[in-house]
Amino acid sequence: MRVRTVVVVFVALLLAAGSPGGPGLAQGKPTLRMLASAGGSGASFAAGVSEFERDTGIKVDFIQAPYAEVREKQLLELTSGSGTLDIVSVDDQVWLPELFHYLEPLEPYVRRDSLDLNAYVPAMLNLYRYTDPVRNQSALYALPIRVGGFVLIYRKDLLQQAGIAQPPRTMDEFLADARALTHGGQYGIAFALKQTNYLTSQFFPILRSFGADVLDHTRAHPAFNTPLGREATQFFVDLYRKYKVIPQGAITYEQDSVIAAMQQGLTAMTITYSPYVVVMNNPKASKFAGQFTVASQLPYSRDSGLKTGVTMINGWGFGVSRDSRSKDAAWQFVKYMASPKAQDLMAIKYANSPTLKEVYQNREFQAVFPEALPVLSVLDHASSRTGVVQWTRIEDIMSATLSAALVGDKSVPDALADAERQVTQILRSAR
Amino acid sequence: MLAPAVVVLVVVLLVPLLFSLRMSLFDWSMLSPTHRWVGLGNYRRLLADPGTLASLGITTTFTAVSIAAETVLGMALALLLNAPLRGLRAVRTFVLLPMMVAPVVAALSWRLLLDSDFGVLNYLLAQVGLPPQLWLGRGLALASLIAVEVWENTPFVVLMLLAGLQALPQALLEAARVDGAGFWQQFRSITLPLLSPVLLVTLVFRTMFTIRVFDVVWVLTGGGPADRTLTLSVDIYRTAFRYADLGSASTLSWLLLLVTVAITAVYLRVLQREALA
Amino acid sequence: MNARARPGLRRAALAALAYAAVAVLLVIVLFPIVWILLTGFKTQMDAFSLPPKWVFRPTVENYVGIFHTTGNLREIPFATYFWNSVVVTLSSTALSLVVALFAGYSLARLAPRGAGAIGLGILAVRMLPPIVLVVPLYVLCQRAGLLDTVWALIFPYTALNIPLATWLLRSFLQDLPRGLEEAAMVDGCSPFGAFWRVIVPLAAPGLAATAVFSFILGWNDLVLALPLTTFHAPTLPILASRVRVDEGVLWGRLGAVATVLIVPVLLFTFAAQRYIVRGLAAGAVKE
Repeated sequence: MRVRTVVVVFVALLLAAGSPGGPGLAQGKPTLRMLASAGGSGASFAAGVSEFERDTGIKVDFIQAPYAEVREKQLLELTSGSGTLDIVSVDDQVWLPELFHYLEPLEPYVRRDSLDLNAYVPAMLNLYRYTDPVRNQSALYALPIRVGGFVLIYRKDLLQQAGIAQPPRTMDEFLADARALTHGGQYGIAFALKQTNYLTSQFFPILRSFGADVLDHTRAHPAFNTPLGREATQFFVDLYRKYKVIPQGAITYEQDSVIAAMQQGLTAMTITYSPYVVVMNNPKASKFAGQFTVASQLPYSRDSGLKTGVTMINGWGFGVSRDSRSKDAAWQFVKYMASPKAQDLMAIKYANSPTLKEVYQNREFQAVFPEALPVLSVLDHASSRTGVVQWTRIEDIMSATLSAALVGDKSVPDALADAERQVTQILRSAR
Repeated sequence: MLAPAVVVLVVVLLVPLLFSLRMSLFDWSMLSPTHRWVGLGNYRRLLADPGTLASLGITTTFTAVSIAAETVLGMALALLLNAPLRGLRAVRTFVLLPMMVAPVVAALSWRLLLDSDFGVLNYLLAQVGLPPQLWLGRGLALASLIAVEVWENTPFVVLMLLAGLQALPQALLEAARVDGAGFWQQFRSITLPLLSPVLLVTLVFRTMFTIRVFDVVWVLTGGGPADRTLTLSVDIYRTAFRYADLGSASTLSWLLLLVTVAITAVYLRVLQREALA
Repeated sequence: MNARARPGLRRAALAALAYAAVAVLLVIVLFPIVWILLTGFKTQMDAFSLPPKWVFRPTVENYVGIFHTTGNLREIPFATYFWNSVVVTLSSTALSLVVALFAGYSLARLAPRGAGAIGLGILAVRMLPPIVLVVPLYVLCQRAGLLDTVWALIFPYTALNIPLATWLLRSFLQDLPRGLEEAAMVDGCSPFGAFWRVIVPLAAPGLAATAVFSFILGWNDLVLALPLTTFHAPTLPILASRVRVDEGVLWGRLGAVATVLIVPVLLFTFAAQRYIVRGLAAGAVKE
């Protein structure tokens, strides 16, 4: 009967399709597996991965996925000890406190291969060091591959037209310039204000540039409900609610809308992740390509006692999974991606944010990314997000708090007090 | 003959379900190899948490309004499409389209449409002189989510009710018309009671699926602004995969399950009484 | 105006109103879908522009983007996503139909003890949000060696389909005259033959309805597909989900993926449509 034939063929195909592609055979080179965040990061990494395959003959199964997916899948795979992943993407101090249990400490490999760690920008390398709070041991768990920071990106032409000679150096100037640039359907600033972890990242540089911080130096207590913290938060909220120099729609903005707002000429300035200036200057995507540039420092608050703004430094590192069956090959890969060859390639041709000092001095790179030196100077005054295991929860609390203040559900002092209470509780129930 | 179904369900659904019940009785984190027994501690803590109660409230509002809208609209559309007019059969398939779109695709598409600066909806409003709205802002976020949910799922209701209408014994309706019964009377005394069984199935399944809506909320608002659209499902996802806290996530899931069972029990009681009347 | 005196005019007016309502309905239903399909032919800049673009230069770069995946792009080939989706969806649909038919028949005709309770139990398992099944299923699949294979999805989807399918088919079969199977067996059929030749054809419309719902679940699900597959068995919804990147959403690509996703469902539904409404009509009403 025809039906029977169809069924038999179908079942045969099913069995063929369903056979799990196991790990690489013992003889021959292993296949390495990893997940990476899609977008600018994934695209630049992909180029490096292909070079690695060409140079070493080791195959790499490299999957790009949205940030939340990478997190979900890595959590599942690593905590189950399945050994499916060989290389682990690490979102610096946010994921490290959770993932370090599952990562190989890299110092033994570094020593064995005589890798010079001084070649890396120190602030970037330190993002991937973590001190195990229980054993009080510090180790390096990943090498930095793509690290940038939040910088002030602005439209040269618009500032010139408004008679502003140079980008704002203080928060007062930042506000004044924004007001001067807000007229006729154009706004001074684009910020990502949607209630997501990006909102907390958007706020972090402002908070730091007012001289406050999320947690104190012991990392056991919240430190944002202080006079400076309140000033920072009020300033942030006022930009949106009182002075309206940010488009009202920004309450739904994530990174893409910020970039689009700049590209489409809706806004004149923004404080966002450094590699995005390349996207804004891309003539295929932007109406105002070529007009965007980076200020060499973030604005700061005069009350803070600081001399320059402090930004947030963050990015991706690659580590080796403790359960990997090909640790040596995985280390080779990580080392390669952090090596001058790969870093040069990814930075010059694929808009990566390099982590080796020498790339910043590379003329070819500077030609492609004229903002290289200003960005590096901003990153000199940067701090990372605090490495505590509850950071993800703290991020969500801050984001909900800021959102409440931004939409007017709570006053700034009330919102901060509420957040302080919740963060204290979270930190107290530390695992 | 029941065996295969029971086996599949037990292995694939019941075992994980019981496993999740077990997890809810522990302080169970994905990041830790050992787990501490807390008994009903998770339940006590979460039920006392204003955040959970707020989520429950938002989920209830979302579900109730969505289902009410879907039912009323679905009924009206089913009646409309049942009319003996030419060309309606072709229309019926198109009306089903929103149901066929993958939830994540539908959610992303609506995000594009509802964007306050770059979205086409505000553009069209501006063209007719109306002010642009912050569709996903403080005031309208929940309403917008409900609208998208209704858009996506009314077709299911239409499909079910239309089938029910088409199976109505025409003789009864004819007799009523001959007796001089108006449309409304016909509807109340004949159509609606006879449709009760279909309505029951539809309501039960719509409730089950709406109460745990995830894609639409996660993609459009992420639960915000200011947690105003934080439904239980989003809370569960966040707790499980952002905080790696499976104990609490399982507890919340069981709370959701119990609420769903309760609502279904109510439906069964009310509608079965109606059907028998 | 006396309704009885001018029935023709009244009917015409109502018909006009009905058509107008249908037109509005079609606009509301189709506009978002048409918009996103159109976006599949826009460049990123056109897709997310201020103001939104109605007139634009169409491009096929988004389609090229999802079909051409070699070289430096290092993406999973489109064919893999597509084939996995086809296999998973058709298999889970077929399995669901068979299992649910047996279960529905059993509950409807053989009336075992506790049929009501079993029926409710079957429904209740479906009430747990799938998200919470993820971790237990992940562990189960890992232990069984099924992770990242099509089986990791076929079994859960079948299980998720069974409750609705069983309910539908049970109510459908409940009303068939009792003596049918006996009559067939008197005529010389085996019990299975009676089932296959008499019951199944009568249940065909109900089976078609079930097939459509099952197809839609398997074809569109993301919640379970995402954690249970990675390199070998990802399905099309995962491709759709991957239009989200760090810098935002690739709207053009979303349009292209949405189009590819919806065509098979449309075709399947058209094919089954002749049976669906008929199937649900007889099935659900005779509860």
